[in-house]
Amino acid sequence: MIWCLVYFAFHFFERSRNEEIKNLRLEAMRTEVELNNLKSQLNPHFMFNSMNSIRALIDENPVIAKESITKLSNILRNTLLMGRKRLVGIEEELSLVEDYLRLEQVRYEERLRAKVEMDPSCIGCLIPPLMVQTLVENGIKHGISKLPLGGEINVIVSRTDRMLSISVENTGTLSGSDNPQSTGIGIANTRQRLELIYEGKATFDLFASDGKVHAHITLPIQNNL
Amino acid sequence: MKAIIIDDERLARKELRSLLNKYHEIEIVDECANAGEALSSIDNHHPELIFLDIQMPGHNGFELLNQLDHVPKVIFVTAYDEYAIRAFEVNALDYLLKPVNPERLDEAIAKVSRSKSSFSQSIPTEEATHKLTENDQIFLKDGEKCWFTSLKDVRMFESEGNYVRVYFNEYKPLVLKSLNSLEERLDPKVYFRANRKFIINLKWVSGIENWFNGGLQVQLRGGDKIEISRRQAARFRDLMSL
Repeated sequence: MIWCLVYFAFHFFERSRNEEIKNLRLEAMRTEVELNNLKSQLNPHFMFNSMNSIRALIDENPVIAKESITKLSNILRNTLLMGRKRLVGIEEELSLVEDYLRLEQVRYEERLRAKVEMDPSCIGCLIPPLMVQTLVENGIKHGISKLPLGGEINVIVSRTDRMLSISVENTGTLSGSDNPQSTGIGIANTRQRLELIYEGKATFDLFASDGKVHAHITLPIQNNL
Repeated sequence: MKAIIIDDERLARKELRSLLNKYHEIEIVDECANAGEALSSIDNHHPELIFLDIQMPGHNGFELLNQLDHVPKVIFVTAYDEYAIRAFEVNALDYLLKPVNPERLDEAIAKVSRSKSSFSQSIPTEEATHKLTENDQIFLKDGEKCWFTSLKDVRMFESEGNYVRVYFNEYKPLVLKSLNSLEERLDPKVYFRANRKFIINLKWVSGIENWFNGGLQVQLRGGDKIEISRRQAARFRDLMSL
């Protein structure tokens, strides 16, 4: 009897300790993924190039120069604040993406053509913050900025009953050959975040066809309401 | 001093041009939006100075330099870019970060003006357009590392298959070129084809010994020993004697 008690007590403690270690590990992984995400968001190359174009615009077109400063501030603020939240509304995310695209258009001018479309029924659906933004940045960095004549980038958000679908497509090819490392980090991070938050219920695909690169995410709908 | 601005963003070119307005010694003769345009513009204008962005669509700034035979003075103008900054650690050229700080630009221009005298010797003349002299600067890139070096610091070139290994200071990067095509580009009074594998810089020769089969062996400052084939030994004696 006593022996049994000791035996079960031992196993009980052993199990709870293992459980605790597992939880801590998961927690650490979460923190690391979020940290990587934040790091990849504060893209200094984008910031400094934008400020440089704005400086030239001050002489050329003061109105757009002022607008651009507001947009850049929005992006900075959102990157700092949204990064701390677990989930944000898709409409909030898309307004950040639009600000970002307008700024990149100031920089790339006619080389960047962009379109953002969302079915109104998607308003209120929650997504991990900066997830669409990361994909759009990747599309510009690895796609459009490599093309002398530029290209287009389209963001399309739609839904079914249970799933939200986000698709980002840009002109370009999926050649990791010139800089395989950088293509990997943003993508791996997106995958990890989806896995941690949705535990296998979200999907992420990246593929090239017809001279375009498509990034496609589906995730279960969680509502704001 | 003739200069060209190379940057894929129109606004970035405009901004730099307006910053350069106050330097009367610098004349912007052209603006280019990519490496291809730059290549032909450099050919046409023979600028003494280029302002060069690194990240551009198509060929980037480093790749452009790689395609040039005569490398003008280069000031890199780039946004934050770890890759670029790493490359600069290896050599002494100047670079500016966007948005450009006017005081840093002052310093960079002053630096260029100081080095102008030595550079002007290598402005290509009719006859010399096709030969590289020891005063020419060359740009070398091996993997991630980049160097600017004066040809006179290069003590020898070694053929390795389709590549040539360039020996200077403590470095020996590998560049994609054949030794034969290189030989045609070099000033024959200074650069001597010692044998099938090597071209040596005659100004670096510190000792000569007789060798087997009527050949010679020369020693270069720094200790490298290179054999001169019998066929070339006669030419060598001619070159080195009065």
